[in-house]
Amino acid sequence: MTTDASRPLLEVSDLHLRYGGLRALDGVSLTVNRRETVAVLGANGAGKSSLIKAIYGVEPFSAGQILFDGVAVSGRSPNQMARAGIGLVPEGRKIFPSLSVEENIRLGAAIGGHDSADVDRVFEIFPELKERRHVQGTLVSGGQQQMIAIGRALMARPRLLLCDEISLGLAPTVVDRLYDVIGDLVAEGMAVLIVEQETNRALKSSERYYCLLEGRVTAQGRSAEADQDEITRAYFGGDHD
Amino acid sequence: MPDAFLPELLQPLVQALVQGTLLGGYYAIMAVGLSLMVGVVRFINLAHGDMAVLGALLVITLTQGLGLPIFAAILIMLPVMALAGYGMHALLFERAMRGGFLLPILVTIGLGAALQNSMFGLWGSNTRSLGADIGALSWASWTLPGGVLVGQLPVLVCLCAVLVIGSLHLVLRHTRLGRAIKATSTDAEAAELCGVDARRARRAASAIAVGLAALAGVFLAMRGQITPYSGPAQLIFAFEAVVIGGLGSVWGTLVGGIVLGISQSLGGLVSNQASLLTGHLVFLAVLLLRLFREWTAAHGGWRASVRAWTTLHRGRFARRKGEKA
Ligand SMILES: Nc1ncnc2c1ncn2[C@@H]1O[C@H](COP(=O)(O)OP(=O)(O)OP(=O)(O)O)[C@@H](O)[C@H]1O
Ligand SMILES: [Mg+2]
Repeated sequence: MTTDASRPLLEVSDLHLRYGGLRALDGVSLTVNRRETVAVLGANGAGKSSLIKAIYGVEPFSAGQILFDGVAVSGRSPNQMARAGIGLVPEGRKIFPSLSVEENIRLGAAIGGHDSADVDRVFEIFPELKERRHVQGTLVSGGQQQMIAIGRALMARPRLLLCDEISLGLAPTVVDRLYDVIGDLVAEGMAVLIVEQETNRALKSSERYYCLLEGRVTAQGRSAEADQDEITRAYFGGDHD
Repeated sequence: MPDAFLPELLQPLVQALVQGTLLGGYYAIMAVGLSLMVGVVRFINLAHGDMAVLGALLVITLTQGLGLPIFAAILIMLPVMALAGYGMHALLFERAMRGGFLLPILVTIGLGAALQNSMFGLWGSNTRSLGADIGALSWASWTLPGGVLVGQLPVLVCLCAVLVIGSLHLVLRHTRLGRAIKATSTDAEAAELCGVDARRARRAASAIAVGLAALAGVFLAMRGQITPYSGPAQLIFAFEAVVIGGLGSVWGTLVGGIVLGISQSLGGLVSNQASLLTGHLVFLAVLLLRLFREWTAAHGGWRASVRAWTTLHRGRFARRKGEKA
């Protein structure tokens, strides 16, 4: 299989996902190019996490197509997606209390190959985690737990990183730090899809954005050219001015 | 024999304690696989005891039928049974788990019955034993000061239990598979979000569980006699050890096994029948205590719980009076 460098790394087309009668995703299409940061914006319940989970193979979707690097990956398990080169920083961090900081990070390598070198690399990126490597994973600060979650996703050497609300509940300086790290990763060649409720933060750190409302894309464009009013309308729906 | 070291009255007591502790090692091997199944896979395999018997019968055939040395027979049987555990989970348990909470129970009861009948068909109903295959080990013992006898086989089994549980502990702590198993047992959905192959972790846990059950079965057949129908009783002992030791900790299972073993051997001082009964009673007592502690913890400590309970009922009486008025 040939990989075409001009082709998007991730192509999602016309994705539909339902929870019983609720349409969480109602025909979502988006692309992420190589070395690009794309933001998905939306209010509570807009369907952002559902989109991420559908891409990562956690939630089965009823219709639509997902191509990763030109290959159809619909219906694969999360583990297979990780092997294919997609990393997930899940909503709510998902740190395991039964594992230490280091073990939580190493969990991301349950996938094959190269543990120790990768752990060292994560500790290089987040030196504060190295000092606390033997501490129970849930006993470190919220910011450090978010670093664990990012480090864990990096263990599988992903080409695409999916980040679900990494800024939630963290101090602005910590959030800056996390986004700096993500910026460095993109500079090294990774593509990133970030999901955020905090619009300004996400627009500042991304090249393109999509706005989700009730499972549909209501706006999209280049982040630098984003119009505040249009985003507000796309974010909250038409009845807000 | 009266001895300066131990007063005559105390000797049977110490003897029972030693025997019970060693017996606990056997229960722990039987129970640790079950604990893994309940804790990680969230699946109760009611055929666990029958797996133990099957493992023992396979070793009996390999030694007594084919003339293999017993150690070689065990080394052949263990991977076969572990593989059977893996396959059983992939083919049977995974499907059963998708069918709600009742189906796994029915499926494993059925599996147990099918296993018992197949073993009866293949090996007949005669009692069988591996005692003759291990020579003097089956009856030899050491005498401690005070005339306390320590059987060599029970010591070997107990050491083996410590070894098995220690290795399992190390595997869970330090290997990739172990971390995957632990994460899956804490929160399978979250583990999948981290890219863990939860399905593989469960199958591996099932393989370990069946392998260890089969090992326990071999020790059971070394200590005494088994029939194709010996499984269910062993399942009950394993359950009791798991509950006494507390779910989710491998070393806890060893403690649970030892407490069960000591309860039984102390009960045995009274009479043979009292032996099993004492074990069951201790199990029930621990179970009730755990339920009580859980309930009080959910209601802010036991003092607060009692207060809440009395006010609740006072409120109910008052309401009833009010209704009448
Ligand atoms: N497992 C589920 N079962 C049923 N409904 C669900 C489930 N998960 C999400 N939903 C519903 O689907 C819709 C989209 O949820 P989703 O989690 O994707 O939103 P979100 O944009 O990530 O919101 P938030 O910003 O709160 O994380 C919501 O209405 C939510 O209540
Ligand atoms: Mg969400």
